[in-house]
Amino acid sequence: MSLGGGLALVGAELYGHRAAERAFDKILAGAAFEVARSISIVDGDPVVDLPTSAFELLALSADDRVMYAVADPEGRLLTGANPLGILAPPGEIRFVDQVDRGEPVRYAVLTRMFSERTFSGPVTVYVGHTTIGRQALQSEIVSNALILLLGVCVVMMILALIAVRVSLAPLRQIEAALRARDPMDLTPIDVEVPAEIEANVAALNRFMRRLSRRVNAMQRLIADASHQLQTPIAALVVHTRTAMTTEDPSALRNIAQISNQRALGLGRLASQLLSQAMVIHRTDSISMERVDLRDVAVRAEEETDFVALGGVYETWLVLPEDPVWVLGEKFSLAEGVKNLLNNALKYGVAPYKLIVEADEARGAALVAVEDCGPGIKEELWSDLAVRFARTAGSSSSGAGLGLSIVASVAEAHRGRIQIERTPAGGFRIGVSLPLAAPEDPS
Amino acid sequence: MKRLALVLAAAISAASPGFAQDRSIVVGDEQSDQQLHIIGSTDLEFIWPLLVGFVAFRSDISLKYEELTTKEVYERAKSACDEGRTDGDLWISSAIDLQVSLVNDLCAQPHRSRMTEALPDWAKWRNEVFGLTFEPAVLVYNRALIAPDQAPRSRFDLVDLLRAESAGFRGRIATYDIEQAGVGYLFAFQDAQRATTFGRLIEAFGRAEADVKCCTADIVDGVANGRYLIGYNVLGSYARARAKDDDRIGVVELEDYTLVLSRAAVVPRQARNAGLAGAFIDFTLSAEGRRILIDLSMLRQSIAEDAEHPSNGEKLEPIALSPVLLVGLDAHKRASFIQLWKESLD
Repeated sequence: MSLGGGLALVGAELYGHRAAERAFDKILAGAAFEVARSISIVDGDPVVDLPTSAFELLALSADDRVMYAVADPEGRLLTGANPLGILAPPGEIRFVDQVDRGEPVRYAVLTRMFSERTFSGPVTVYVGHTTIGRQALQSEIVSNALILLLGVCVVMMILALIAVRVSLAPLRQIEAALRARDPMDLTPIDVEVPAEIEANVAALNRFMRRLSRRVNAMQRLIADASHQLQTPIAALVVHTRTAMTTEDPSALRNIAQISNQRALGLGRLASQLLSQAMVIHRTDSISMERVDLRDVAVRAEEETDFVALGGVYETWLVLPEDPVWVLGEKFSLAEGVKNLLNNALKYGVAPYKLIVEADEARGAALVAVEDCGPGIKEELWSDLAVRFARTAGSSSSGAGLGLSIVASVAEAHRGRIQIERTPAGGFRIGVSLPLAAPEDPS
Repeated sequence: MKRLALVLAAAISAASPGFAQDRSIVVGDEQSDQQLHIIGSTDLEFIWPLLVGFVAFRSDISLKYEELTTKEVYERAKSACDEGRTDGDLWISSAIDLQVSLVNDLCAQPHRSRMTEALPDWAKWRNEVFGLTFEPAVLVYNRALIAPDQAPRSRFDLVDLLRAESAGFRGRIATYDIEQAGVGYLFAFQDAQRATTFGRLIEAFGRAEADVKCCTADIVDGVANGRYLIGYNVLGSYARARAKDDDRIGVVELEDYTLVLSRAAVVPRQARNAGLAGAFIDFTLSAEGRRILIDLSMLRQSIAEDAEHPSNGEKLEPIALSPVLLVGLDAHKRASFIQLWKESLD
């Protein structure tokens, strides 16, 4: 602010100085020309018929003292007083700043050439005046310019204030809309806004959409979990109640065995629910990065607890030579693949294959598990994840929630679940994802 | 009572033997250590009421007035200025061009007051030179020899009169000798700047063998006693003052235009009592000072009003105090103007 003010001041000073200098130099020049024109040669000598009009010109600057002199070719004074002894090129006017008894004086110097029979040579005219008028005009121009600048500044500030108020009004509307809205209403905000803050509103709406998706996923998860946990817990309750009234030791052992299986299933279900919650959380909160699907497959294979599933299974990893890049989150993807693998090991028929494929033409990558069993009935293929999620808890082994996790992972990665029969009559289920660019741009 | 005493003191001082030689006067309390020293070109006998009026107003001071010719006033002022000496506290002269020249040469110091602010622009320059009076340049004629209704009313009338009755006017018209009389040169130069009638006028003067005189009194005396029929460009204050007591003298302010001179006061840069000098200027412009000047025919009402409201519809042209007056002082200009004048009149 003060820098701008300083610049304006310096600018106004310069402008005022030049304007005043130019105006008053014209007066001086005019007077000098008139004096020069009044010189004539009389009997071989230059004679000045000093024109009143030249002095009337000079007197326009009311408070300035005036000086003049006319000098012959040898620099001797013809008339006036104090010739400066400076020459100007013929036909040109020169301005010279001098000091006379402490006062600044500006002179116009003009040389007129004579070449007559009786006299030839330059006659130089000096016309000067003090600079009171110049300085007065200069400070008048400067102060006027500054007043004008100040006025413009004030008007600009008022306009800026108005503009800010007007342009921020939509923000107030957004604020009002947000305040008025139900805490659970996560639909996009619909307020007319200027283009400048459209991006902000869009970002806000994107955030709301993400929040909404997550809240929905959590709600679904909680609904699923409560649904899935109810059945095995109810079964456990029934078995233990039966045990309380049973005397027969062999029947009791039988009940204990069943209860143990139920409890194991319940544990698996709980860990799957937590895993799904993790997947939902991670895919929504952690940014996507370039992931090689082959790494995902290897990791899923390594982390699968084959012993807990009842033995050593033969699993073939079928991986391409080159990396298969997708944008994703490693943990969630591995979690999804692990669930596919678990299901196959549990319900399928050996041998099992864990396959990674890249289809450059369609821009799609696939990670899938294949077994030689009949797989899921074809009429159940649509709406698979939801159906299995609902029924997961009903069986004692507690399977099915795995597909729900897979579905969540696929959805989070803009992919889909892909199911098909192999030509050999086996069953293949996997997740198809969009291929990422082959090279990291950075 | 007090005033009477002062007037008496002035009269005694004026009658003292030294007076005739140096033409100076001291009024007021001679014991006072404050003395205002005025150097002026106005006749002592003429201006003393103003001096006495000021001393009556400032009874704590004394006032010394030295009467010199306009040329002497300038020369003393200029040499004092050039040498940085003190010579007088106030210079008053009817040679207003020389006064302006002193200001232009940085010999003056400014004075500002309510009184000087009220002066019209033409009557001051740089607040360093001030016009104190309002004195038209008039034509005087002998009322016994020229009937008032025959007296010229304009320069055209005058030229016609001189042409028609060339014989009767031969040698019987007078004006200033512009080489000797500063005021005469100033008026003639202004005439030349202002009017195309000037050429014809001096030509007619030449044919009528006009007489040139150094001093206003000589012209007016000559008109009064019938030596001259007409005096041209006479300082109006003096003519009117004389005409009051002498009904042979008729005074005409010419209708085509009438130049007006305002006696100019300058406070020297080296003045010892600049404050008193300023006070004298302010007193002269005050109501009391104006009353005295009106008595002396040096003013009608006030400088501003006199210029704006001419009493008889004359075209009054005050000579402005400005550097334009320096043109007439230029050596070449003056020489050629005087040569032109002489060629026409001889």
